[in-house]
Amino acid sequence: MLITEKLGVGCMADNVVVVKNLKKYFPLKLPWLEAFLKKEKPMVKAVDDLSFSIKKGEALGLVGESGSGKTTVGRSIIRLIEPTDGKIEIGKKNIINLTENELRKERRNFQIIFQDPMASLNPYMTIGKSVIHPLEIHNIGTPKERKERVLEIFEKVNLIPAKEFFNRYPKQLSGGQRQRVVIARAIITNPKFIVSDEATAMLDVSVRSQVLQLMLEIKKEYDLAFLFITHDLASAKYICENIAVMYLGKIVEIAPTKELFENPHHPYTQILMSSIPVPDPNFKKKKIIPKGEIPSPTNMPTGCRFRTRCPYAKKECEDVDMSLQMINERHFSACPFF
Amino acid sequence: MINLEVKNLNIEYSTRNGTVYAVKDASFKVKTKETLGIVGESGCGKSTTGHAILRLLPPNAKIKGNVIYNNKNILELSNKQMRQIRGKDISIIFQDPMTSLDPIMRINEHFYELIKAHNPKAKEEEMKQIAEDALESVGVSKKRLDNYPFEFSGGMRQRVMIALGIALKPSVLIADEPTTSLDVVVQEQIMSVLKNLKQTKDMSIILITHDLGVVAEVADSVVVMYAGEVVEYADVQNLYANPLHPYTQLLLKSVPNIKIGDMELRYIPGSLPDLKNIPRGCRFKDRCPYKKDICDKEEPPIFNVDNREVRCWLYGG
Repeated sequence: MLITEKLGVGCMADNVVVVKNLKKYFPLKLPWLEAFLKKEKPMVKAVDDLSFSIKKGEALGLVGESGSGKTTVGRSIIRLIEPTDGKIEIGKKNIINLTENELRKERRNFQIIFQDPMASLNPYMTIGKSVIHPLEIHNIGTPKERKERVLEIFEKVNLIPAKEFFNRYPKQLSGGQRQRVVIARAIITNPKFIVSDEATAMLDVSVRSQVLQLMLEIKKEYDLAFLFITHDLASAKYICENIAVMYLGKIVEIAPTKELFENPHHPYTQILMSSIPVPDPNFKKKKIIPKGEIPSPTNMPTGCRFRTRCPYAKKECEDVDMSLQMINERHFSACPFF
Repeated sequence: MINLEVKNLNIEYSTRNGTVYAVKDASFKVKTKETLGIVGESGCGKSTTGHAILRLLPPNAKIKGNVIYNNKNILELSNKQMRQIRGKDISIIFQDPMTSLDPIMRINEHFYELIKAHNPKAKEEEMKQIAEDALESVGVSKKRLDNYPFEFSGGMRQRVMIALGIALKPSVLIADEPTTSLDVVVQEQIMSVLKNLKQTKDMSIILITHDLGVVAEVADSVVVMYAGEVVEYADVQNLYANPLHPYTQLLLKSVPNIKIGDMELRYIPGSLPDLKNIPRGCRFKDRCPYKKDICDKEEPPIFNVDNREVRCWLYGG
């Protein structure tokens, strides 16, 4: 609570997205008798008390391993899954209290791009139809205007010649082109906020850079707020103004991108940085390889959740709480010892 | 000592929409204890090449050329002889560890099946010993032999796959994108397992990947492929210090890095040519910043420059 307020000091007016104390717990399935006898239902704390804000025209990178809860965050803030608790504001509107009908209308203001473009496009629809669809749902413009708008957006995302692409099917496109279609569909309703969930993870290096470049351009042109979910710190560097590192449902460190790369504080952030392969055979980096893998969130370690893998873990780590500590005005970390 | 040699490998797929020329005239060698990286974008023929060595391609593939192993061209062996080589002399691990293991078989049964295929009379204790040794060498506790694949995480499954790959002490291990579906931290762990194996066992590794960072960390020499052709073949030091082919140069520049001063995103404009309908001349010419007249007319041969191979008119002609 305190932290979001601090992070937004003086510029609250620019915040497009404000998330406070977001929680998403999934109930654990138990055999019925056990479930009946247990007073307290065990929960998987996929997202546990997360707060952040994103300004207009800025991107927040949410970085972490598989199983850290980053996708759950992305989905719950636009209510694709219902959050357990917390406060979410997108463009000054409280998203949590909206009824289903209101939410559907509001959805034109926030969109999501998924990892696999093939799975997010209907294989039986031409891509023109797929991209026109949001305009039809939200009843924007006449059929003629809609088509013009789609052609205009196709040019913008570099699907040229737009008229030819309009009638193509997803299977006729390459992976990079498909992801461009998905981006076109996401921006066609002029949203204020876009969640990108590992949108470049499946693409090749050279295509990945092309798609990242496109995201940078649309972010600038439409003054979009972006939540850029990725496991790749190197990609996040190019897009994001701020980066939050997540581990087992908690933000362990949040800082402006430059600050985070120059001065990573939390041991987990340092490990993530050191495990990015560098394309230089002579580069001898200090390798910090953590023990084992991310523990199961059904059986969370007490105290610091990272202590079971942390190379610097000590006795005290068993009872620290993982609240963010201020390092400087815009840099916060959840490790009190490092 | 040269362990495996691929000479003038050509692979075509006949499909309903025409013939796809997937690999053209690929040649390279792997020495004992050497790791050879094969890099390139999706669709450049790197996996096809890797699978062709073990003859794992679908029936519509036509393979021509030589894959020399133990002084024999294994492309000419009978299916029965080939089965004896697979898993024992040359083995392969695939990209997706989730779909490579049988979900209803315990881990030990996977090992037993493999061992029995090569030695039907193997005793249970013997097989168990082999499986335990293999698992321990990749950092998985032998207690987990009785587990099912679903009880393992992605990274652990890939370790099990590697253990299966090396269980019968093959002399060549083909790793086809072994870390692509894994997280960076787990990727780092798997890479250190592979590096370790190379040092402790007399084995060659052929590492197929699109990640130039991974190649820089583990490979000794590198084959760069583009649109089905080997465009550059060099040792890792020289390739990264002084890439010769324009494609290699651009590919290296387009890797996202973590240097904070460098905020410019670079990429190679355009896309791969259609492998059914390859343009005349150089296959990279439409994306190449150094295109000359000859590039349109004639396909460049391999030129030798300082003990390296490069397929580009900039270096000859």
